[in-house]
Amino acid sequence: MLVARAVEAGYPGKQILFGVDLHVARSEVVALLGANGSGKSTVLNTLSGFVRPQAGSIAFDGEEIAGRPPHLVFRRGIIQVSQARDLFTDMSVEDNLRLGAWVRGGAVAELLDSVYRSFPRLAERRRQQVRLMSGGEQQMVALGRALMGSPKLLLLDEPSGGLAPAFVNEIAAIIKALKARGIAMMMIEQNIKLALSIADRFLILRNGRVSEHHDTRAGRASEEEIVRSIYL
Amino acid sequence: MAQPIVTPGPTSPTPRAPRLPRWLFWLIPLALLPLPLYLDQYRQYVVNLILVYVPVAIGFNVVIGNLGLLAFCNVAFFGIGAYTSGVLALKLGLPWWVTILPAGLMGALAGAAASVPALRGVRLFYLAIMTLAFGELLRWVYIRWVPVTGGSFGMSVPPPNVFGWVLDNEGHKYYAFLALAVITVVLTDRLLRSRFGRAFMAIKDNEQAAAAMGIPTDRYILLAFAWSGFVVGIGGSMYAALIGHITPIAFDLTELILQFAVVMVGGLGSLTGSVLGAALITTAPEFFRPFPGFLELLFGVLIVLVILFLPRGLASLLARLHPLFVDRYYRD
Repeated sequence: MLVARAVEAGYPGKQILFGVDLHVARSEVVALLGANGSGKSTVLNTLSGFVRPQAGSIAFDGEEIAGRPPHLVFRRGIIQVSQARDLFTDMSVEDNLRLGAWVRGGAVAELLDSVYRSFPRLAERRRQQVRLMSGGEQQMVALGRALMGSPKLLLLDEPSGGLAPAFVNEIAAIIKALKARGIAMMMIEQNIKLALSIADRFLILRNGRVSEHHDTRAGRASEEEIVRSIYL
Repeated sequence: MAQPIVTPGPTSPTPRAPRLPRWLFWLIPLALLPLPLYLDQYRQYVVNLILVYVPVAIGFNVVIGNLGLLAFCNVAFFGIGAYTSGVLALKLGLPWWVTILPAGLMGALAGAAASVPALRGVRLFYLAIMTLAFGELLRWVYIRWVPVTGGSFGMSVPPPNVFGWVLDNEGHKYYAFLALAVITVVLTDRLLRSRFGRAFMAIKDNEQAAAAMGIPTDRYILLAFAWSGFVVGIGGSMYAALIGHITPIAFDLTELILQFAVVMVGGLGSLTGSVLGAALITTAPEFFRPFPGFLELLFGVLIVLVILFLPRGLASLLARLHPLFVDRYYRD
């Protein structure tokens, strides 16, 4: 579904990715692991259009999307849930969700309904200002908003980052449920146990290149081994 | 699909304010119709000046209040509108009413031009100073382009004329101005309630997130500036008709600060606030006239008091009095 080849990208004066190759198949969950500064977030930001690649190609459903602005990438069905969560904190939960369906318009009421059924906690707080919610609840709003856009591929940047342990479990349950619905995902996750329990495959990024990949379905890789290959 | 994934937490429903029936709005201009019967020419002039500042404040507010960008080029749009109207009337002999739309369109064009720094990613104080420079640049043009603008001495504009009917007293102008003020309020209200308005709100709240939601932010920033320019340009055309003489000095920094005060005192992001601010800031000097020399002082104190105790402006005072007055497209 998504195929990236030899992607080079970065910020003015600092190249971060030096030829990244990766792919995500339909309904597949791929975890992106790597030490801090290895370029994980830059990979997601490049896929979603926030960072313009300097070289390489990114094809989504056979269509070249490298260098397209974020709103057009979104229209293709690639939706990013970023680390900063990027919510509209002054607005209510429902306004945030509605904005998730901004591009498609149409059956917004049905989409809202289905998101509220998945996240009853959000249904109760639909009029609450997002600013006043806990980190875990905000993460739910972010996921719910992404679902409003009917994603084909979700890019999750540390969905469990900074959350209380109880919420980490809830978020993990949500991501598993999304996977069961057949939504393809590429996720960055520091919590390796969580990442391995969800992902079909994982990639290890080192110095802006994919240094290894493993298929978790082929056999259980030991956690310790993975941590070693990330950091050493 | 869509079984509950997460266990429900405690309920805390927040009530929504009741909505004001839309038709009630039309009672306001209706109630204002007989005003010229009760006012002398001077007071009528002051009321007309308020009506000029209604579109001026509304347009300014769209960019700094609703879109949330610190752009200070409002006086540029105001001046462009006034000069377009004046030049078309004086040089081409067009009646005033024909010049209103071109004045708005030239304002919109100026708005599009002024949005270029914002589209290149310039924000905050840098955007403020660049847009400020845009207004000053235009003032330089008014002064130097003597054959067209009349230079520093300005130009006298023939009395306004609507469908061949010359508006030769303040009462007559009043009706034309009231109509234009109502039209600009209604159209801007429509815009802000539409998906465009929601896009402005999203950009104001979190521009990156708006782009991530598939909102083409550049297009909406351009649109907000152009709409602002259009509405303020119409205000400029009204100004030319009201004053009858336009000079570059009318579009200087002092004027910009006055317009900024109208928006701030009225309430950022509030249409009602723009109207209230225009009314208060335009009439306040009249009340202070018996105290010569104290006028500026009292004026300054008034603004400080409003900003200090009503940071959301007069509109928030109304909203506090009754939930019916809560602006629905601005939350914080």
